Amino acid sequence: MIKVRDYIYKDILSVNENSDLRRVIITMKRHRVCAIPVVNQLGEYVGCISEQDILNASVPQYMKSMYNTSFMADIDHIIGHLHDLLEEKAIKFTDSGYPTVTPNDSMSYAADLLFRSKKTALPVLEGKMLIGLLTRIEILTVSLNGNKLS
Amino acid sequence: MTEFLSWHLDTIHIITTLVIFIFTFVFITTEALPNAIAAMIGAFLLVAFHIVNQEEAIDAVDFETIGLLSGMMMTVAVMRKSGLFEYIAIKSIKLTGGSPWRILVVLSIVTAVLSAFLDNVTTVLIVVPLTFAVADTMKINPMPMLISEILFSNIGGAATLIGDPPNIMIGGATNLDFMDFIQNNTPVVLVVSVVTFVLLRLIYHKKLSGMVADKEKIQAFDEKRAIQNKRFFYTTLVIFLIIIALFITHHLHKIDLATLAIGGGFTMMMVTKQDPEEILKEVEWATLFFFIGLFIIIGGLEKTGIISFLADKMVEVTHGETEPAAQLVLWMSALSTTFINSIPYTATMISVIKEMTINANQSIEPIWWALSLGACLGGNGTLIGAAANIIVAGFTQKTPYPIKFKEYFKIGFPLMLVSIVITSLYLYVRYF
Amino acid sequence: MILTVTLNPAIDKILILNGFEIHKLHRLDSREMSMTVPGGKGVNIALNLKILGDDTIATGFAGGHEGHLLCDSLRQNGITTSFIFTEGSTRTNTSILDVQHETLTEINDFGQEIPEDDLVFLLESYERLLNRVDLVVLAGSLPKGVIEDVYRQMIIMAQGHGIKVILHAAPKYIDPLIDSGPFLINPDMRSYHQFMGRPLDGIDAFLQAGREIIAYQKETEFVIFTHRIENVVAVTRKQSYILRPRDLKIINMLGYADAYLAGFIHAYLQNLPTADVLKYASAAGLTNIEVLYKEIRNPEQITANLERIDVEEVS
Repeated sequence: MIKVRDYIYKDILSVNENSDLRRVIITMKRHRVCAIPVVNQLGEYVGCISEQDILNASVPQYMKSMYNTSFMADIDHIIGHLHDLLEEKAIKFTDSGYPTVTPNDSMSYAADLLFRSKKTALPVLEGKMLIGLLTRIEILTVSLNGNKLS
Repeated sequence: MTEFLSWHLDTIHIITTLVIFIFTFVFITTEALPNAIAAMIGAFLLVAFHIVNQEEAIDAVDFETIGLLSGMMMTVAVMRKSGLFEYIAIKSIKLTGGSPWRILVVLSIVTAVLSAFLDNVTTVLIVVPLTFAVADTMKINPMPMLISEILFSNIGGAATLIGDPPNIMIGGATNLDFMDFIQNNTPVVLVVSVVTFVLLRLIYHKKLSGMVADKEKIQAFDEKRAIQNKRFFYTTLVIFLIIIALFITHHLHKIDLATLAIGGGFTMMMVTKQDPEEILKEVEWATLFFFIGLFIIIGGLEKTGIISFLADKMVEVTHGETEPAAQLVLWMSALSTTFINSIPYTATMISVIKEMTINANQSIEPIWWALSLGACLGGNGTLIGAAANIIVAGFTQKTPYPIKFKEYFKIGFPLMLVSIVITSLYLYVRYF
Repeated sequence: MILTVTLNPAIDKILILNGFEIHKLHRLDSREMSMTVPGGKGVNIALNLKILGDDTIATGFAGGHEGHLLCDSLRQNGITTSFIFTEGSTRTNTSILDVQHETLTEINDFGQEIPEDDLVFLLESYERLLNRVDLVVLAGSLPKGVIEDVYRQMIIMAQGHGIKVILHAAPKYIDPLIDSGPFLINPDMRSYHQFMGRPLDGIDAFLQAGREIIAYQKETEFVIFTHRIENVVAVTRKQSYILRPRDLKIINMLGYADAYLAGFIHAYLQNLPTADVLKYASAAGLTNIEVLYKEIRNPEQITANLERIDVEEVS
């Protein structure tokens, strides 16, 4: 069985739950990751923020209730709304139910989890400790006959 | 002996039925159980206790109501996809040039007209997000518009047979048809609308003229993009107009409205090549079962004679005269539906009114109009008066402008009373 | 788990040539080499530690494509990264090793300027990492924009968690910190021969300086001078040691001290007696210096090299 352990992206940079959203976005952009884990003061994992979570918070509620919003295409609501949220704390956007895996889980389990949750990366945890991420593309490359691409 | 036993049995039936009815009513009013569950369990118990048998239960259900409701749900589900309603609303908003008062008026009229033909909940689900979008764009407070929309969803819904469930139920139970409702309700609805606008203007004048609105931004709304497929748009519009035309000409072709609605709904699906499974998912089955359950429970009340008892009491109080009966029904309905759900109330009242023995030379019709207008307009009294009200309030809770019960009450209740006074006068002048 | 902090890391571009001449165009031939590898003192120590089998987390500042190259490379070597990315790019240090003339020419860039928010973010992250490590290595220069106090802050934070700190940097960074009492002080005096406010060279001078520090500071347990390879001077609370390698053959001096410290840490964590720890460290340094690469490539060789280290104990 192919395990997550061998495919972990070993970067553990996270944001503090009290960091502001501006810092979260800057970190995600510079780090080139689409999801960033969130930790508390003790360094324990509390959840994850993905690009989609931030986008979700930026779209005004009334736009989500509309069947079709293309008539509003020329108005800057979403970006404007996001701009107003930049001082908010990361914990507000954190999904504490974000799916996670452990090093011992199989890659197939991780693949199924990613498929169902529609996320692009999963935090890898040992207990409450973050030890890295498992990215979607890594799961796809497993199929390439074990030839690990850099 | 058997007489004795049957008398006891009857009493037990009556008590059981009353208990079931009261419990169901309480569960519905306090929202302790979802409406459909409360009603259907109540109905089930009635049949289980042999108060009514299955045949009688099915007979009690008014297919005309259920059919019309489900047919319109299907039709609207398809029409929503065309962007027709958004197109109308946005186009109208742009024509106002952006002044907050005019926007309030326009959105309220759109709400009223849509309410008259669609159910109120769908109407507010379309108009409220748009209201927020407009308010967000122009940076104004949407509260006055939202409150006005609540009022006009109920006012508009009173105008036609298909506008509000009480009217649909009355239409199903009597031989009053589409045009009858238009001839009797629409005039008073128009008067009430005008008066309401005047009063709203007085209430909100200061607030609205004080608003600094970013008027040009509205022009950036592109209503044409609301229509994704022109052909689809025109097709649904045409079929809808045909359905309404058929409703209006009912006295000519005599096809019942439920049949027209369901037939129209499926025709629309066929012509626009919609997947029926998708569309049928949008039908509010829970609401339909709510109605079914209620009809059965009312059937039980009828069978056990409770309804007759109530009807007799009402005739006593009003001496069998239509005029006081109508006024009584009007005020009772308005004040009741302000606080309790209009659907079980109307279902019960329909049975009661049917059993009322009126003096021979008087028509019972005005009492129906009293019920219709009272039950529809009464919904304006409080935030919990109608489902549409609750939905609008719900939308506002997480925004900087949450509508609270008290706030709405201070405006809604007085305006509702005004509308009932107008209706009361109207009934007097027209019929007596 | 060991944490290495490299606030000013680099991409090391290492050129190994047969004869380097200024003002001339060199085209590398098959016997010559070019390597682009992650660099910076803390980074090198992390690489060596991983080779020796110790789990390591590397943190510090990084930026741009070079920063990603740095981190990707570290992860490929099995090191967990947690660098804070800033504006600008991680600097490139160029080293030209002339095998023929036995010279090593280094040209080091100065690196990005770090804004205050990024430093705050780093310190937050550092504090959280302290919860999961047993030892901290603060190594290398401070980048522009970073207040000189930062190493002191980090030492105090680590001590608050009961974690030992190894400090390896140029004398100018260490001088103001001596009173904060890091566990091990290893000044990098290859290019600057002044320490503690005075010129310092020769075994006796090193012993003297080391003893002064230890007398002055209760928490420091080791002061080690490694830049004079033939005589490595280590001063501890109990006594001092001089370690000398026999039959020294210097191939590439680059990374000697980093290998030394990695060896020290590896042996120290195994609770070996002090003399053995220091011996192992020297052996590690020796193994590194006799190979072309800046990190240890052949760890098995270290045990073999142990017997080539003479240890002299001084009171």
